[in-house]
Amino acid sequence: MERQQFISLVEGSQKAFRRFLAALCCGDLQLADDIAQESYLKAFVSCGSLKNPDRFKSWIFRIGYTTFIDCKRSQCSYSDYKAAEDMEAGEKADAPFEYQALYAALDKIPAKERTSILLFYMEGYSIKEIAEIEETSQEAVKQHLSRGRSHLRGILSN
Amino acid sequence: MEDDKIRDLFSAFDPGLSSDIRFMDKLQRNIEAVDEVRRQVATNRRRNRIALAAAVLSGFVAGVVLMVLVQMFGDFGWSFDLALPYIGTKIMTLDCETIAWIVSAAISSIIAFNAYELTLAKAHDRST
Repeated sequence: MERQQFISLVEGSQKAFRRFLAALCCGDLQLADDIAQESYLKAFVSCGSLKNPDRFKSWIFRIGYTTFIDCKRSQCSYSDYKAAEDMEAGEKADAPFEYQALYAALDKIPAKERTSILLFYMEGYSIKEIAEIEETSQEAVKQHLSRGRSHLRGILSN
Repeated sequence: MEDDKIRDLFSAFDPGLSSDIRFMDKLQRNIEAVDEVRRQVATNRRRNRIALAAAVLSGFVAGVVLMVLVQMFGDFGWSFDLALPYIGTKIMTLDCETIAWIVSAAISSIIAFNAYELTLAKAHDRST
């Protein structure tokens, strides 16, 4: 795959991908962007293995999900103080506070259920597609969705 | 909570992400760095192949030349026995032709190794 083709695929997917990661990371936008950067780099390094460019979006979501899980396992901290210094203050500064209840609720749900919920309700992926992204069975995805729904219901209604 | 309510919850989700332009700029810089590393790796691989070819060729030529010399002048008619010290048991008999073969092999290896190192150094100097 040519670099320019890769960049145009990134431009088409980055907003939805970063939005998904922001929810997956429960509002930690810096971490979400770092995971997004790392995922796209991993995708660029192995873009030769992607036969069908139409499947780029689900492929990058799979890479993002595994990168997120690796990050959780290693309890990595991508704190980039330079990036924090460069942040533009006042740019939608209040936006994160709107979703504090949602982030807190998502934080209480296990990562796999959270991923399934976000992919299903936010991105509109089917159960089969979610199973491919999470590299698990469709039955497992259905269980994650069911449990995730009841957890969310319980937390947000309190 | 029904499906629709959860869907509505996420459909309006706008977490206030940082600028797309900044994100893409940073990604492009990282991709450029990856490309640069790939180019360096390809260059090093090419240099190593050339150095290896030079080593094999020079080792082969040196080996053939030394082989001919040994055949022509290698036999002076003397030999000596290798034996274990203090016990005196004979391990083997070395004649001068065998010693000449061993010395030729050592010289060919040294020539091949030096050719490899020189070619690698020259290729590196040419690129910097």
